[in-house]
Amino acid sequence: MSNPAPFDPVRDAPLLSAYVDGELEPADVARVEAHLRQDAEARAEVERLRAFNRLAAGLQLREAPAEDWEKFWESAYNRAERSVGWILFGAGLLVAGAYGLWLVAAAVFGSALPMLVKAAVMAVATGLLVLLLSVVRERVFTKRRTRYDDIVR
Amino acid sequence: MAFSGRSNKRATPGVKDASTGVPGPAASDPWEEQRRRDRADIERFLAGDTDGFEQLMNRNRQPAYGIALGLTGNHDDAMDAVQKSFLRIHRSLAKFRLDEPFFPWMYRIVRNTALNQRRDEKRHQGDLPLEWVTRPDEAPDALETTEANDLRQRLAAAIAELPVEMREVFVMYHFQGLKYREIADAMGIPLGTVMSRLHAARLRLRPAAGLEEAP
Repeated sequence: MSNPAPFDPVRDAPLLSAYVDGELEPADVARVEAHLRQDAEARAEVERLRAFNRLAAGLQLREAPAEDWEKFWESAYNRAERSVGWILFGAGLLVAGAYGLWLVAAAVFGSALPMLVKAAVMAVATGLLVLLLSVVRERVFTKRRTRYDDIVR
Repeated sequence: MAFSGRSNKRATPGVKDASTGVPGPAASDPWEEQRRRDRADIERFLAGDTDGFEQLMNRNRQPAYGIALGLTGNHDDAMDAVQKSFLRIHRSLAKFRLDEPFFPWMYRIVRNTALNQRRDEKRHQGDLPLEWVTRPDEAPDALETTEANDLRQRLAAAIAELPVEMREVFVMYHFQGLKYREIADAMGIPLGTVMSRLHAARLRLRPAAGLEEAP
């Protein structure tokens, strides 16, 4: 049976917090207590940690008011409905826009207009459609990609 | 994970006395009771009973709010993050593995949402809304005195200034009543990391608590 590693005041300092919190395994409790018997500064540190814990025990995060929770579900349902609405709106706009663009293209290229004018009309129609889709995509589909964003199990 | 006693501090089997450092009996599986209730509600929801979802979320809403509040620092953003998180959970619940505890899964969703919210809104207000619930020895006698308010505000500001990974551990331990093992499970980090982050957070907060001169 090997002896436990000696307590290193720097490396093992977090053990004092865990000791005060009662979160150590029995072997580590024995190791910390053996060190405390020999080190007055460590005993003083334990007292400071206990004093801090007593202070923190008197504080809590303020809870959300009950009336806010009453409104919570109603606005959650509204939010969910609006997301569905935006998705439907975006999909409809995509189909209708594509069809409109096709109609414009058919009318323009079937006419006797000069090629430069045909190209300009198509550029305007396509640009308008792209701008509309961009606004909708930004609102509905934009995913903010950060290292925190993906939630996968 | 049933919350009881102080509203957002949890009573757990095997709790140790924080002031004495005496370990209590180890909880064999701290998630078991919560897991059973969560599983029952999730199964109800997946079977088409929407009350199952509401009950699941109502039981977890204050812990979720606490997580979000610790990260965003203000009530409005925290509520918004909780709402977005609950909608994500609603959409993803069918993929949830019933043999796993719900809280760590929810924790990750709320955490990610709150961090994105904080980054997007850029209106992190700094001070956490803390309040006194008891009069500890080190607190001023009258909790409504200027001295008590100053101490509370100093601590709130100092907590808000902690690096996010320290603040999360600190909030989960001190304000949500989670044990080290539960925090490690929820955050997906080793137990020793929980220990060192919590210790480092306490050292940083001690000057604000008036227990030590600032270096």
